[in-house]
Amino acid sequence: MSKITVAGVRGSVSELLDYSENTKKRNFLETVELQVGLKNYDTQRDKRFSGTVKLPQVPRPNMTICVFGDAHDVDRAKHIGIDAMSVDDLKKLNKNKKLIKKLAKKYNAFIASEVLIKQVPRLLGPQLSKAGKFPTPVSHADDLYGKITEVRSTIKFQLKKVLCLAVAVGNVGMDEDQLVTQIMIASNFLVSLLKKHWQNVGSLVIKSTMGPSFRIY
Amino acid sequence: MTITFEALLDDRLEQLTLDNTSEHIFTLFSQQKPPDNQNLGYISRTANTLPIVIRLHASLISELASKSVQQPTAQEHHTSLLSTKKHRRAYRHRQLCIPSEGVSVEFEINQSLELLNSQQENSTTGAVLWQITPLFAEWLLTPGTVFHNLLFGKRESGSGLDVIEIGAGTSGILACALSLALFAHYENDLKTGSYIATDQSHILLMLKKNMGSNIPTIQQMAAHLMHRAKATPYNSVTIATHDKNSQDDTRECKGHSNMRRKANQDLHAHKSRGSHSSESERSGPRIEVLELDWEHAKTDINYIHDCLWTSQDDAIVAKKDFDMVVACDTVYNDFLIAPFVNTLKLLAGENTHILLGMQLRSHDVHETFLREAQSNSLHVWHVLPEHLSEPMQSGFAVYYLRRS
Repeated sequence: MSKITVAGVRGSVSELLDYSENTKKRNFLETVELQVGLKNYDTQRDKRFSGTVKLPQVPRPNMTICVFGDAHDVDRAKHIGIDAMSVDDLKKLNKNKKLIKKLAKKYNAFIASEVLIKQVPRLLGPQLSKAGKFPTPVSHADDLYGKITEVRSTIKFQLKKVLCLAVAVGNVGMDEDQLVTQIMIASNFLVSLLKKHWQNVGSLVIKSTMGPSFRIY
Repeated sequence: MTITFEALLDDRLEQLTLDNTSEHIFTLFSQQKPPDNQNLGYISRTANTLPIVIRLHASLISELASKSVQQPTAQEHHTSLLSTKKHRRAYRHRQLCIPSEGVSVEFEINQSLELLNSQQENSTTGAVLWQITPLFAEWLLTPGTVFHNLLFGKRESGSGLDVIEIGAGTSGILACALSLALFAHYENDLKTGSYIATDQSHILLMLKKNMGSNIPTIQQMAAHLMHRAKATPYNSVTIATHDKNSQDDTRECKGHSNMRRKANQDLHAHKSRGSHSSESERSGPRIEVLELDWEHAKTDINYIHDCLWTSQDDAIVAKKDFDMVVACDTVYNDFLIAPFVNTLKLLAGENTHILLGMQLRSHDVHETFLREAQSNSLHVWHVLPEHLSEPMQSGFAVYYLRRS
């Protein structure tokens, strides 16, 4: 049972798109963010959630990804134009905290060859974990390009210590239908992470990077 | 205790240290991360009643049957029993079905949706059943798994298996499943053991109800598998709660003696009830529901100790410790980590095995817990995922702890 309707969301989406296309067009592809305010959530008692859901479209096409690969995967990554680092490259960071932090910041997500995953924390220390950027494993049998698309279209909801969170669900280059679908899937998934479902939702707001916000719940 | 720590520690367990904890978190959350679309971890938050099936592996059945003290060859007796109409009739109400491999036991669990959706101050987490619990229960019962022998292994004479569950919630699934071990020991050699399911006081009534309606199923099952013609009657299972709220005043002014008296009353009541219905002098395993709030663990644990191990004449016979502490999905919020670890620490005796089933949610809460446990003189081992059951391999983790 959903508390938001497709028709209602569609109205807000079309206003949002109209603003970003006609009122104030920007020189870059604006991201559409879903902002969530929670209520009735006991920060000291309730389960701190973290969950991922795969959306039909990639919300941010220019999301940066880096592959930690063995020789084979580094080759594959380079072939499709994705940054890649070999074990030797990682060793070169020499466990330098600053450099590793920089690396963790530079990329939105990481993919690692299955065989290397155990070595990664030994080479990089706790920095990636601290940033919550755990690499997605890839095996030689997997299609690397497919894996990258999968990672790019997966969004993560994670509650930190404050009762609000935001996640990118799309961009203004998408058409209205696509955007509505993305928002519906993301909102309904978010609700499944809440113990009291809609009773825990204070507000849902959509907003393009530079545009005004539109309340959908 | 026949199972020593050393005997347990094999290559299926990996010890965590403060140095390798973050490595462990990294590997765990990269390789065993929960699947996409995984909800908060509830099985259903709309059903008032949930049917939960726990599969007992065929080898468990033969293991139990082989422990039988009765004469007819176990397997023969077993199969002949299974095929009789009488059997089917007897078990129809117990919702017991016999597939080709193993036996499935179906429990009917009541959830408290009212509590879940209420705005009350107390924690509402225990109101519904969480996914890891039935998986963990089934895994523990499967022969060949890491901790199976802790439950079913031979025990020294005179010592029953004493298990305490913390943060049991309302379902009682773990209690029902693990009490199979207690009944098995009891049917085998009349060793009484105990299973104490605990949670905050507002959960207990529901928990008591669920256990009351489901434990007879498992008790019948054990009796049947062990080929006892006559099962110990259901009512020998005491499920006692103590209503703490009504006692709070007396507790504050008169302190311990009052609780002790109450404990002895409970104990006395239990004993008289037990001996009344049991065929032998022993009263069967004690299966009870008691309050244990992590935030005032010390008082609650004292009470539980009194209740279990104090004789009627007010002298403490043996202040012993539990053999096992079990808990499922009890680490999920930073705030509760310290009280939870403190509870474990208080319960951990020299020979206490602590088994925790956890769902992977927030990596930092998870890591904080592992570090907190280690800095509170508990050793922590992680069960390597390949030795868990298949459904537990993504999104869950099992830890073994003991006092260092």
